[in-house]
Amino acid sequence: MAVRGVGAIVRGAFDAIFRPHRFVEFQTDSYGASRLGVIRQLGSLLGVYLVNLVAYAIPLTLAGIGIQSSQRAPAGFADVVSSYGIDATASWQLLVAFVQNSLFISIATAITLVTFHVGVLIVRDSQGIVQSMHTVVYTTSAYLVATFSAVWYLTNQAGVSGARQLVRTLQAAFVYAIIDALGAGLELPGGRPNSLGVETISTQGQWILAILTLTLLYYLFSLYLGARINHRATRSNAVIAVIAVALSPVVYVTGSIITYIIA
Amino acid sequence: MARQDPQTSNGASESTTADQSDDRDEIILRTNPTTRPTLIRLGVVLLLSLGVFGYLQLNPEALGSSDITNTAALIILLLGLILTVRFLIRTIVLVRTTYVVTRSRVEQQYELLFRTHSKGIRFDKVRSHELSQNRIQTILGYGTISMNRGLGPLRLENVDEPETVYEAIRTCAQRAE
Repeated sequence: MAVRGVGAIVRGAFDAIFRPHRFVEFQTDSYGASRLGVIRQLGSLLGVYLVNLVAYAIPLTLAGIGIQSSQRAPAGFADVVSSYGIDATASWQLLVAFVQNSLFISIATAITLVTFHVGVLIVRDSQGIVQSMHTVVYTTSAYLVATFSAVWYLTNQAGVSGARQLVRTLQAAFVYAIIDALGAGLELPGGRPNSLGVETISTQGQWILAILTLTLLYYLFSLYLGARINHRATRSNAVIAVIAVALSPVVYVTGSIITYIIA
Repeated sequence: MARQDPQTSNGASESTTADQSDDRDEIILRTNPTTRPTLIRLGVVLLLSLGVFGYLQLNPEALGSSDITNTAALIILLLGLILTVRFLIRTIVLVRTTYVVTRSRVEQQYELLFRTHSKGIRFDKVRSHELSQNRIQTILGYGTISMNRGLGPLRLENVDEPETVYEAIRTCAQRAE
């Protein structure tokens, strides 16, 4: 049983790297077409997603990411956990950190699902929400998690300051490009970057940047495969669906700027 | 009223059944998928990735700074490596795959490292079949034969001389109707 479990994980990792089409493909003959069948399938996919989310967020939380030592547990929570002999403050801090660590990737997953499904709907190739959810759940569980892990490593580890600076500069340049396009005249707290150059990037930083780039490419390519295989979209329509996802950061930043201006 | 000797009649029917079974299992066509397109892709990947990697190594300031250029070279190298391994595995899988058409069924058989995989469809269960070839596949002389799409499908990829194989499948499927 354990060997089969390990074998499944190894095979999954192999497919994720070398055969991404096997990783995202949806078995159209194994799912029902009735409403109850669709609900059951969505529930199953949600279960897969939650298991992967927990598997991602728990190690981060136990490593201390997101834990704020100044936090105190609310009275109600403290009363409940204390009755079981559990330290209320420590467990509350762990819980809050777990929710926070899960939140970013959950938001990214939700945005991916909405933009991807809207993309396949726009090109009129949608075979159903279940197919989109299958694509996004498995894409997220492998590639988006890898991307977030690389970003976490860049943000928190020593020895990669050059790479960290480059990524922050690119992010700032991206936001300023949209600010300038809207003529908003806003300024970010870190100011406008003078150039995209950085003084030096360590070998470790170069490897993390390379892995980050590859995971992002895999993420977009797996969405393309999801549209082609699960929604039977043509090449051009699948590209349009991926562009819809890739444009979501632009939509998000534009919306944030407009909201800020209006407020 | 004449009575058949059960032994004789049974023996005769068993013999007939066995003959019919042998007849149905008679192999009409056995072929291996072509590795041409995969090897071409492998060659293109190797050429492009080594070419770009070499260019970046010879021009360290190509992307502004040597560290950024090194990072880009690393990305190209890793991508090239992954694609090379992927196409090599695909080639090995194709070499170990056999497509078999008998009078009663069409099968895709694959064997590697003591692991056997066989998937087939009986012709009396075939509801749809199609041969597809895009421009490049037509030039290179291979195609994809799909059966029962969306109904527990069987897809034979990289089929060499696809018209011949498809004609055999079509004929057998018509006979089974």
